[in-house]
Amino acid sequence: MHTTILPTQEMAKRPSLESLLDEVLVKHQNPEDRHEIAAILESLGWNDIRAREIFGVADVFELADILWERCRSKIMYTSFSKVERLSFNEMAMLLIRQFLRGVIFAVPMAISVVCMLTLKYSLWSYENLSVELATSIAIGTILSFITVGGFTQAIARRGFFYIIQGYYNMARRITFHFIRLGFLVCLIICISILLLNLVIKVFPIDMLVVIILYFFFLNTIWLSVTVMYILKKELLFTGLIICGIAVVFILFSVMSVNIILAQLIALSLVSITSMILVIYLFKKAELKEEKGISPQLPKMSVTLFSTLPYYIYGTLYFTFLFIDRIVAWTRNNDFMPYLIWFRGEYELGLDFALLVLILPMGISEVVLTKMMMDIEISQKSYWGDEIHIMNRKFFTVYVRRLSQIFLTAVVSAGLLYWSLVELFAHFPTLNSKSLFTNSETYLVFIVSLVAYVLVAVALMNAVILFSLSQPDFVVRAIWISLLVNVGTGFLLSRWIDYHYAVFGLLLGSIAFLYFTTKDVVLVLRNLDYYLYAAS
Amino acid sequence: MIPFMETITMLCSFLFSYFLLFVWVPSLFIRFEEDSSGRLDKLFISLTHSTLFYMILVHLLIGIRLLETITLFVVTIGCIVLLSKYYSRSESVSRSIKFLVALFDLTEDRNQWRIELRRLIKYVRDKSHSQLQEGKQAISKHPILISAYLIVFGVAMTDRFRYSFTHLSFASSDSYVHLVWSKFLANMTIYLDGVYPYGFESIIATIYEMFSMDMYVIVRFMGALTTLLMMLSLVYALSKMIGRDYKTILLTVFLLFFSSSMMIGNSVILWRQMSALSMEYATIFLFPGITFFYLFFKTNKRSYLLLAAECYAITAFTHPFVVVNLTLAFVAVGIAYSGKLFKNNTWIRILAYMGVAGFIGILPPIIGLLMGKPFHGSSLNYIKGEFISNESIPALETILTFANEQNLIAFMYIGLAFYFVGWCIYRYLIRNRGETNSEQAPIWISAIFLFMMIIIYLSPELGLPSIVPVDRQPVFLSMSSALLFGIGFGKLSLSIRGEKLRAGFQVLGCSALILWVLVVPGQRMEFPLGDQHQYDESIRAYLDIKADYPLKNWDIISPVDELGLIRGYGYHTELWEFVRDIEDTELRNQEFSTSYVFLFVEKIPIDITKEEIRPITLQDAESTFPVVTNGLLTEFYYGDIDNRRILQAKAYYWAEDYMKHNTDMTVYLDTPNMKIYKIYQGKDKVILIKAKQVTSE
Repeated sequence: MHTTILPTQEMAKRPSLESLLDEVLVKHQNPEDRHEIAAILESLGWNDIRAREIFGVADVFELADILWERCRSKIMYTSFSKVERLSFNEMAMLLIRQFLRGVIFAVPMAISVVCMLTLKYSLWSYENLSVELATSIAIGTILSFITVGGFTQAIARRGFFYIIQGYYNMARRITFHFIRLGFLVCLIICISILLLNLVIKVFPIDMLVVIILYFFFLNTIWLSVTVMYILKKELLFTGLIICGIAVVFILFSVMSVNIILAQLIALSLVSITSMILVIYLFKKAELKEEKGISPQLPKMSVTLFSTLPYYIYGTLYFTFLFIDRIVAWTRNNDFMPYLIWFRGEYELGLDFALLVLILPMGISEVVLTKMMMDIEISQKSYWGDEIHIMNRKFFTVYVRRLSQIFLTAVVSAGLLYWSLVELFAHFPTLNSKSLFTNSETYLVFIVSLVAYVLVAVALMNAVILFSLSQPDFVVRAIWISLLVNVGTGFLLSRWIDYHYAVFGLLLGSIAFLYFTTKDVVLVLRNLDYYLYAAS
Repeated sequence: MIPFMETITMLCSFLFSYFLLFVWVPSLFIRFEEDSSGRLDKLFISLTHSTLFYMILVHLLIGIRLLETITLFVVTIGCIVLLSKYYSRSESVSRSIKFLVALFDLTEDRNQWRIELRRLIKYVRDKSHSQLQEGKQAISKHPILISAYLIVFGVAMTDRFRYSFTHLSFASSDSYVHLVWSKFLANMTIYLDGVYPYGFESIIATIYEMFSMDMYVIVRFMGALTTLLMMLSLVYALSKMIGRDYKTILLTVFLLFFSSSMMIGNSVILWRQMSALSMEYATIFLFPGITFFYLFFKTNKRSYLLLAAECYAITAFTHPFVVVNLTLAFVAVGIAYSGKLFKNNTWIRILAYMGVAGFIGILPPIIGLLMGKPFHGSSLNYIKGEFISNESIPALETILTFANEQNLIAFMYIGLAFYFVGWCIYRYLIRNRGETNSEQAPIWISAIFLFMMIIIYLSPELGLPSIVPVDRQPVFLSMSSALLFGIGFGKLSLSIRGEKLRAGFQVLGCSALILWVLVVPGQRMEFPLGDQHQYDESIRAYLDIKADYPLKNWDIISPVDELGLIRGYGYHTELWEFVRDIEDTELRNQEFSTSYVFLFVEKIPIDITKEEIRPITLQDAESTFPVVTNGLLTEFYYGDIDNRRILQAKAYYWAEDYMKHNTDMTVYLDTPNMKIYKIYQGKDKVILIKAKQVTSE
C-alpha cells in the first residue's frame, strides 16, 4: 500500500477533518447531502489527488462521505451552549411588567366605562344620544376598529421586528409607511362611503358626517396607540384618554357645548396630540440607535407579502369582535328607517362583558412570555434524538397554561358579575342598571361573558401560533370563526329576535377556541419542525 | 309647491338605481351571443335575467324569513362571483391572485399607481371619445331620423312623466295599493290582503331594500318608466323581426304611443301608462318574450328558448292577464313555425321549458293558497264581474262593427288577405314549397297574434268565455296591432325594389301617417287627468316632515292614504279614530308615543268622484259622528264624501279651538286646500288634553 510521506512543513499545514468540515459549513450551514459536500469541496480547490494525499482517501467523494457522516453526527451531538437563565427576581419583574403591559392596554376601556357610569359620557359615547346619533357613532367606531385592526397588527409585527433589533430608524420608516397606508385606506373608505351613499341612500348627510368624523379621528387614535404600544408607552394613551374626557367635560358639562361637537373637538385634540407624540417618541427612540446604521428597507411588496397574514388577521379579528352588533342592529323589527338601527340594550350587555378580558389579557402576556422563554431556553437542552420528549414536555406545559388562562378568565367573569351586582345594588341610581333588569340586555351580557372567556383562551392560542410564526393557522381559524359568528348570529337574530345575534358570537368563539387549540396541539406535537421553520 | 330640481333628483336617482341593478351590473357579468350583443339586446336580456332573478330571490327569502338588504346584497354578490368563476374556469390564474399580484406590483414603485391611474384615465377618455365620434357620425349621417326619434321619444316621455312632474300624488288608486303591498313585502309580509301575484311588488321591494330608496319615489316614477321600456320593447321586437328599418320602427312607435287609432280609442291606456301598475310592468316582457321565442325558432339556439321561458315566468309572477296574452303569442309563433315545431321533439322541449317557467311563476300564489290565505278579494270580484257575459251578438255583426270602429286593423287584415293569397300562389303553385321561412314568419306571428287578441277582446259579444277583462284587453290589442303594422309596413317597404324608390315610399308613408295623426282632429289621444286621492300638499308635508324631524318620532293624523307613505319612517293615526276620540266625552287625554304629532286637515275634502267639491263648514263639524255599520271602515269614512267632510270639519274646528287655549300646537302648513297642525310637547311623547276641559280648568 502506497502512502505518501509529507514533509514536516506540509504536515504542519495539513488541515484536520474537523477544520475542513467547518470550512465546508461556512459555505453552507446545512448541506443537503454528501454530493453537495463534494461540490463544496471541489469549489474549495479539493481534487482527488489532494484528498488522497492529505487524508488518504480514494477521491473527493470518499472525503465527502466522511464529512457528511461527521456533519450529521455534529447535528445530533452538538454540545449544549450554556443558556443564561434569569434569576427569580429578574423573572418576577419581567412577568409583573408583562402583566401590567397586558392590563394597561385595557385601562382606557375601563376608564371609558367608569365615565359612562358616572358622567354618562366618555370620549366617544353618550348615554342620552338620539338613536340616529348613537347609530352614527357606533358605525364610525366599529368601522374604525375594523379598518385599523389590520394595520395595528402589521405595525406591531414589523415595528417590533426592527425595534427588537435596535433598528429604530427602520422601525420608524416602516411604521409610518403603514400609518400612511392606514390613512389612505381610511380616506378611500370615507370617499367610498360618500359616493356609495349617493347611490344607496343609507343615511342622511348629517348622520354620514358624524360617521365619517368619528371614523377618521378614532382611526388616527388607534394608529397612534399602536405605535405607543410598540414603543412601550401604553400609559401615555391612558393619559390622553383622560385628557380627552376632561376636554369633553369642560366643553359639555361646563360650557354647555353640544355633546357631538365637544366630543369631536376632544377627539381631534387627542388624535393630533397622539400623532405628534408618536413622532416625538420615535425621534427620541432613534437617538438610541447606533450612528451610521441606516439600512434600506426591503422591497415594499416583500414587506406587504410577509405582513399580509397579520393584516388579514387584524381585520378579521376586529370584525369578529364587532360583527354580532352589526348583525343585531340590522335586524329589521318593524319597518326600520335605516339599514342599521342602534339598540342600546344590546350594546350595554356587550360593553360590560368586554371588561372580562382585562384580567386574562394581563395573565396571558405573563403565561405566554414564560412559556416562550421556556421553549427558547429548553430547546437547546435536548439531544437531536430527544425531540419527541421536548415536544411532549411542551405539550404538557401548554395544557397547564391553557388551564391557567381558562381559570383566570372564568374567575375574571365571576368577579365581574359579582362586582356589577354589588355596584348596582349599592348605587341603584346608576343609569346602566338595566343590565340586570332588562331581559334582553341580561341575556346578551351572560352569553357574551361566556363568549369572551372563550375568546381570551383562544387569543392565547393565537399568540402562541404567532410567536412560532404560524399566522396562517390563526387566519384560517379566525376566518372560519367569523363565518360561524355571522352565519349563526344572522340566522338566529332573524328567526328568533335581534339579540340572539349574541349566540353567533358565542358559537364563533367556540369555533375560534376549537380551531386554535387544534392548531396549537398540531404545532406542539411537531414543535421541533415549527421551531426550525420559525428560525 | 313641486320643486323641479327635487323631482329631477328623485327621478335621476330612481332611474340610476333601476338601470344599475337590472341592466348595467347584470350586463357586465352576462355573456351575450354574438348575434345578440346590441344595446337593446343587452338591455332586454339583462332585464329579463335580473327581473326573474330578483322575483325568485325575494320570494325565496321571504319563504325563509330572510328578506333584507344584507341578504339581497350577499346573494347578488355571491351569484356574481359564481358566475365570474364559471366563465373564467378555463383561466389558469384566478382573478383574486391576479388582483393580489397587481396590488403587489403597484407597491413596488411609488409612482406606479400614478402610471396606472393615467392609463385608466386615457382608456376612459379614448373610449368616450370614440363613442362621441360614433355619435357625431351617426348624427351627421341621419340628422332628420335621429331628431325624429328624439322628438317622438321625448314627447312621449314628457307626456307620461308630466303627471309625475306636476303632481306629488299618484295618478291612480292602484298605485297606493302597490305601495302598501310592496312595503309589507319588504317587511316580509306577503299577501297582505289575500293571494295576488307579487312579482311587481318584488321589484319595488328590491329597489327599496338595495338602494334604501323611499318607495314613494319608486311608485311615483315607475309608471312612466314602464311605458319607456314598453316603447323600447316594441323597437326591440321590430328590429329583430324586420331588421334595422328605423323609419318603420319610428313610425310604429309614434302610432302606438300617440295615435288614437292604435290606442283602440281608449284613453284608459294612457291613464294606465302614467301609473305604477303590475299589468303594465309585466307587459314590458310581452314583446321580448315573443322575440326570444321567434329567435329560438330562427336560430335553434337554446339560450333564446330559455329567455322566452324566463319572460313567461316573469309574467306568471306578475300578472295573469299578461300570462294569457303571452301564451297566445307563443301559440302564434308556434303556428307560424308549425313545420319546425314538430321536428326533433321541439314541442316537448318547449312545453318542458314553459311548464317549468309557468310553474315557478305561479308557485308562490299556490303556496299562499295552500297555507290558507284567501285569494285577493277585490281582484276576485273584479274577475268574476268581468268574465261573466250575458249578452251575445251574432259573430259576423260583431266583427263587422269592430272592423268599422277599428279602421287601421281592418285595413291591415285586408292587406294581409291579399298578401296571404299572393304568398300561397307563389309558395304552393310556383315554387311548390309550403314551409314558412324566417322572412315571412314575423308577418304570420303578428297576424295570428292580433287575431287572437281581437277574439279575446270581442269574446263577451261573441258569446265566448272571456279570459281577459274587456277593459284590460285594449292594452294588448293596441300593442299587437302595432306589431302587425310595424312588421307589415317594414315588409312592404322591403318588397319594393330599388333603394331610392323604397326610401321615397318610406318617407312619404311615414310623413303622411304622422301628419294624419297630428293634423286630423281626434287622431291624437288626449291625456286623462288621473285620479286624486291626496292633495299634493299632503305629500309635500310628508316629505318635509320625513326630512326635518327624527325618524320614528312623529305621528301623522290623517286619512288612510298617507299610511302607505309613512310606514317605516314615522307613525300614523287614522283621522276617524282621532275624531272619534276627541268626540268621546269619557276619554280625558289622547296620548301619542312620539315627540311630534301632525294633524292633516282638508279644508276642502277630496271627493274622488269630483262631484261635490266644497269647503268644510261649522255645520259639518256639528253633525253627528258617523258610525260604521258594515263594509270597509276606510271606504265608509273616506270614500263617502259626506262622512269625510264631517271628519275633516270636526278635526279642523277642534284644532282651531285647541290652539286658542294651548301653546304647544302651531300651524305647520296652511294652503287653500289643507291645514296642517304641529304639536310638540317635549322629547318624550305628546299628551293632548281636551281643549274644552283645559278652559274649564
